Amino acid sequence: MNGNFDTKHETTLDNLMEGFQLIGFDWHYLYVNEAVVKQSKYKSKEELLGFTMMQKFPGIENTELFVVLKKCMKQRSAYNLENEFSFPDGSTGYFELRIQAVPEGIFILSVDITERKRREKERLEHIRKLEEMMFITSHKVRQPIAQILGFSDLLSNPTSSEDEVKRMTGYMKQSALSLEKFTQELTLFMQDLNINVQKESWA
Amino acid sequence: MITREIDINTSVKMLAMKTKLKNVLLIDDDDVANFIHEVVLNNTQCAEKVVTVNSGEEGLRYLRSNIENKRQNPEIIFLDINMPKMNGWQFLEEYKGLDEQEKSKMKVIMLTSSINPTDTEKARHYEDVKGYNIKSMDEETLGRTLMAHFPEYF
Repeated sequence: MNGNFDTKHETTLDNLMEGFQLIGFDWHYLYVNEAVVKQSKYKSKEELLGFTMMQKFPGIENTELFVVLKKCMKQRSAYNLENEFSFPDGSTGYFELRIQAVPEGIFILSVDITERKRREKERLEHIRKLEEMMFITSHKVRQPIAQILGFSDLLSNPTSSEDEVKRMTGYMKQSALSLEKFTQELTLFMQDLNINVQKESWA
Repeated sequence: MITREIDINTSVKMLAMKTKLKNVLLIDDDDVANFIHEVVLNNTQCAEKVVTVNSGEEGLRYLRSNIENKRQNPEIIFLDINMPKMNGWQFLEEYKGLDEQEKSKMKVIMLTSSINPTDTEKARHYEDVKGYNIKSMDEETLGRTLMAHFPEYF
């Protein structure tokens, strides 16, 4: 890329939020914009340009991502995918990738979705905790309700002795008290949950 | 070991059963639920004896002791899931190892307040589990369960 036209385009590409990279048939970086530099964790374009993907990201040739890149390079077909990428420093990031065959080799448009994935994981964890609470609630609420229903059924039976009726009303009171205790626990849980959600949204 | 053992000596056949069950076992740590189910079993006059234990561990001890001493084991076991020490699932794992001939004479019915689909699904995977009832079991549910599993008694 050279001349005024290319320079103008390069500036435009450098201002893109999305990563834009051109990879040659021999896996060399032919072009990367600033977003790719940032996503790659290298400091400048020069650290990538002229090097192969395998030189800059050793082991990439053994990943599922590379299988897709090879397919695109060979079959000249397009792919869209989400990929968890492992960096040489051991950290990982999530990227949404659009891979396209171009005359120079392949072109990759990349969006860093690591933060979105982190939030998704947190949301799933939040849902899991709520579901867990729901089942605990279900048990703690259902147990005394089932008992009260059981007793109301038994009390409608005229064969129950006076002693049995006394025991049943005593147990019913216990069931009602345990329901009352649980509603207090549930109120506290909801308060804690709201505080945590507020903390997360402030973070 | 046995929390309660009730002998039911009456000729009333509330469930129109030709023959009463010899023995019913309730395994539940919830004393209130046990009381309700004992009264229901008593009212229906479906069994000669109701044995109640508070944990899976006690239930197993009771069954093994009956096998060792050649005593009548329960024809039906009502088993709760959430119990301390040994829960219903742990009981079922141990129960698998009991003598096959003895097991063939017993039906295990889950009796729990859990409506968690994971629990109902899990219960389905145990060959020894023949049914899943939600607490509290009333006379109608008990009748349906017995008719389904012991039609020859009616």
